[in-house]
Amino acid sequence: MSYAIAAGIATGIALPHLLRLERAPPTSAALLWFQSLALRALASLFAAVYLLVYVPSAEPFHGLAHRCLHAALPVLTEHLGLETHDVGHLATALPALLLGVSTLSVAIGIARAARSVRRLLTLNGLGPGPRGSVIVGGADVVLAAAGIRRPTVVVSAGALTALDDDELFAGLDHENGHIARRHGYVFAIAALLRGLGRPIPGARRALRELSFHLERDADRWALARHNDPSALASAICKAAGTRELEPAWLTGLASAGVMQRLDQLLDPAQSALKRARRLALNGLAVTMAVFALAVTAVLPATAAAGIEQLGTKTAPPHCES
Amino acid sequence: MPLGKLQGDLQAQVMAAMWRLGAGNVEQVRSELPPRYRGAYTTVQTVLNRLVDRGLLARRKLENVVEYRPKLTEAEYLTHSIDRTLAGASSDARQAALAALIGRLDAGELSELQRLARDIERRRGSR
Repeated sequence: MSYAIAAGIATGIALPHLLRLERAPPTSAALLWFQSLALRALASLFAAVYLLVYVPSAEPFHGLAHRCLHAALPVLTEHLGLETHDVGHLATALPALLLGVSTLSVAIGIARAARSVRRLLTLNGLGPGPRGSVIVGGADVVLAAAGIRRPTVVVSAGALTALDDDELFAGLDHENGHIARRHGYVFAIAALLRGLGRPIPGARRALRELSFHLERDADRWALARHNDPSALASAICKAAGTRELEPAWLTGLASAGVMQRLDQLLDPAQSALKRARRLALNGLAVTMAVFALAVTAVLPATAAAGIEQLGTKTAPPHCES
Repeated sequence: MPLGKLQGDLQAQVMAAMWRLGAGNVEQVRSELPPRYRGAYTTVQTVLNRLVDRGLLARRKLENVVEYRPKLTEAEYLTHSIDRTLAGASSDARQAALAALIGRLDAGELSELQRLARDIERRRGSR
C-alpha cells in the first residue's frame, strides 16, 4: 500500500513535466502543476518527519550515530561535552528546520509584499480609473491585479494615455480575470508549497509553469468578455515595450511565456487541441487533484499512527561517551 | 499610421498640452498641440472626454464653455511608484502580490515582441 502511494506521488510530481501542456485547457494545466507542487511539498514534509521521528528510534541509528560521530567529531563530543546522540538528533532535525525556515521566509515575503501594495494603493493611489481600477503613477504601461485578500486592478497613468479603448478594456478584463478566478490566492499557496517542496528538483519550473497557465486563464477570461484577441495582444506588446529589462537571472524566475501567450492569442485555431485530447487532459487533471487530496488526508494520519506506535516501544538506551 | 497607435499618441500629446496649459477648453488645447497632432475640433474633444472617463482629466462647465484640467501632475505621471514599492520583494512574493499583464522579459524576448507589435499594429490598422 505504501509503495503504491509512493509511486503515485512520484507519478503526480513528474507527470506535468512529461506532458506537453502549453496548449492544454489552462485550468487543467494549472491544476496539474499545482498538484505537482502539493505532492512535492507533502513528500518533502514526510521525508523531514521521517528523519526527525522515525530514524532516531531505529536501532542502526544508535550504533551509527555513536560510532561515526565519536570518530568524526571528537572536538564536539569530547571537548565541548556534547552527547553523540544530541549531535545525531540535531542532524536528523536539520532538514525539518530548513523546510520550516524556507516556508516561513516565503510566507513573510508574500505578506510584506501584499502589505506594501495595499499601502501604495491607500496612500499613493492617484484616483479612480476606468471600470473600478485605481490609477497609479508611472509613464510606462502597467496593468495589474494588486493584493491578495482584497485585490484591486491598478492601471498606470502611462497605460491610460498609451492604450486605445480596445487595448485598455481587454487589459482591464484580463486583470479582472485574475481577481475573479482568485489567482492571487492560488499563486500565494503555490509559492508556499514551493517553499516546502524546494528539496525536490523542478519546483521552480512548476511554479513558473503554473504562473504561465494562470496568465492564459486570465487571457481566456478577457476574451470571453468579447474583447478582440489582437487588442489584448497589442496591449501586452505595449506593456512589454515600455518595461525596463530585468537582469537575466531574475528573468528566468518570473517570465510567464509572453511569446507563447501572444502566439495563442493571434492564432487560436493553430493553438486549439483536439477534443479527445482536451477531455483526456481534463480527466487526468481531476484524477490527479483527487489523488493529491487523498494523499494529503492519509499521510498525516499514517505518520501519527507511526509516531504513536513508536511511543509504545521502550526508549532506546542513551549511549555513553 | 494605424488607428490604435494614433489614439495612444494623441492622448499622450493632449496630456502634455494640458500640463503646459494648466486648464483650458477644447480650442485652447487644440492650439497647444504640435501641428501634426492638431486634428479636427471634434477629434480633440473626443480625446479630452475619453481622458475624463479614464480619470486623468476633470471637466467642468463655465458659462457656455467646458473647461478641462488635469487631475494629476506631470510629476505624479512620471513616478514609478509600483515598481519602487516592490523593488526589494522576492520574485515569488512580487508575483503573488501583483499579477501584472506581462512578466519580466529578457533582451531576446523584447526584440521579438517589438517585431510582433509592428505586425499587430498593421493587422489592427488594416481593419
